[in-house]
Amino acid sequence: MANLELHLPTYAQTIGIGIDRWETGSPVLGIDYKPEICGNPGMLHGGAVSTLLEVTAIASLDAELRSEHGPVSLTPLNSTIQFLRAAGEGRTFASATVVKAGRRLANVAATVWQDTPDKPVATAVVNVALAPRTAE
Amino acid sequence: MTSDAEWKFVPSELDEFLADKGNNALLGIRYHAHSPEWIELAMPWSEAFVDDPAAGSMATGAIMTLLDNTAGTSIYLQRGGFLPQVTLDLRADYLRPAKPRSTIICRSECFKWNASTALTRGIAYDETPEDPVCHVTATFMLL
Repeated sequence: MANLELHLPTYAQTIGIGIDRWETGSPVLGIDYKPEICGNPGMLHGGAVSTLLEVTAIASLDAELRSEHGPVSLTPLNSTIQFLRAAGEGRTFASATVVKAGRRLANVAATVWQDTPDKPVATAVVNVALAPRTAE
Repeated sequence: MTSDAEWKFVPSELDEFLADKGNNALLGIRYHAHSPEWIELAMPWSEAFVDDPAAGSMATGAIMTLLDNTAGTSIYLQRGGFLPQVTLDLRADYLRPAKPRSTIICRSECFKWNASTALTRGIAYDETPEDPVCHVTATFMLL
């Protein structure tokens, strides 16, 4: 599958979230630490981690649906985030798995890590509403 | 050892703490209001913090950062000091998109806490608390 030009939210771009690489058709997103997105000094803010998780969930779903159906309008219904360890200075990564994509809703699981995915910084489940794919 | 006075939580002095550094300063998050039970923080609209420039609503990522901050601050309010804590989990339910170019206000209350954990609940709104854009619950570990 060709790697897609995914459009990330303006806020995600503002804080420096970008596509790091593609792994088997799914995007890995990344963000570099900078003082503007810290909570405690030297630690990534929980809000920045939450943003990375949610943006990655939507981007991964977008990539999967587009390859099958073309562009689909995606709106997050809710995000549930578990914070597991602090993210320090350095680069932080995220990937996501589409657990289920139905006609109207999708459930996506995302993970954020720094050194290795086996030591997650945070995980999230995001429920997403899909816009109708055909005109009424 | 740090004196108690240094850690005392005074809502009217909160902006000094919020504007000082990091993601709070970037987003321009400020004190808005409080009662004995809850505290409100406000995040002004900026074109740099929207989701889609054509729609003009604040991005859910920026809103989540406000939710996390306000939830944590509502624990400071109940405990009376800037005591160390970390977010364990956070759930945000998005009820509707925020109105374009609107300041977002989050109201949070810490409704239960003990030696190790604190539970919070809150909403975010653009015009009135009766018509929220988002509902949130978050659990914190107290250090």
